Amino acid sequence: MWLRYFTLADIILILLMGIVVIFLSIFLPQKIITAGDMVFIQSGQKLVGRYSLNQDRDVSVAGPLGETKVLIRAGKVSISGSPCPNQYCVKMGKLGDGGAALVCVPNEIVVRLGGKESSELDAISR
Amino acid sequence: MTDRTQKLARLALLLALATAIHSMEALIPFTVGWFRFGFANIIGLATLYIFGFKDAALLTIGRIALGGLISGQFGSPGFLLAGAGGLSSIIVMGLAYWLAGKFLSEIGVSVLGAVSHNMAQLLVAYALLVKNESIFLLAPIMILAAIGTGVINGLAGKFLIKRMKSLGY
Repeated sequence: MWLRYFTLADIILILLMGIVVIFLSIFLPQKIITAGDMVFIQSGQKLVGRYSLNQDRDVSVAGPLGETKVLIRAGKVSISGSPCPNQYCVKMGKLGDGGAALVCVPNEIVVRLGGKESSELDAISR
Repeated sequence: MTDRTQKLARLALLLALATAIHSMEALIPFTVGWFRFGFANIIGLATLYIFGFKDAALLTIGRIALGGLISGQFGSPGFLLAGAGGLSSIIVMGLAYWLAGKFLSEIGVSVLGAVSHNMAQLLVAYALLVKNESIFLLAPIMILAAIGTGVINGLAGKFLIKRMKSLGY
């Protein structure tokens, strides 16, 4: 039997590690996904605002065409008004959690959701 | 041959073996992403049991430096990951052997080493490369992988240590 090579402490250690794995796989996703509760607003290449998704707020962002109105309500963010001709950004609807973004191309506005720590790079691949 | 010279020769052979295993492992085609078996750790484990912590730590540092030179990765992110993993692994294994060597066999010590190896890699990858918390979602799967490789390497190390001792090392 393979088990004869293991001491009792080895088996206890491996079982403990297994419990840690189960605990982490339940607890970590919640912890990390709820950490992404910030709204980042970009005008052109510049980051013009960082807001919590949990605080209701109206934000006006200036773009080349005029003011785009961003609405944060009850943990969701949407674009309520835009000077652009086709209004696609308004029709994109509301964003809750997750890493998605609202984009208004004519007015060069990007509204995206992210974590508390926002770095310029999401990842570097080798 | 004096004892000192004999020990030096044996450690040099072990370092050569560890470096060879370290480099050849990079050639295994089917591993995913950063996943490695860490077979070179078998030699680190055996050195720890036979020659003690200091020599095992030196062997690990030497193995990583030489392995980095051979693979041409010296100073690259992959090299930093290997270095952080290898160092934390040998330190944790040294502590485990010193504190709990009466209870844990080579397998338990090796599992602890493998888990700390992967966790150190994850931390360094977060701090230097990815900088995004979602990388920690990998933690459970990396611990699980470490348990597997730790048991395999621990068993192999156990047999190697037994064989080396019977050969008079």
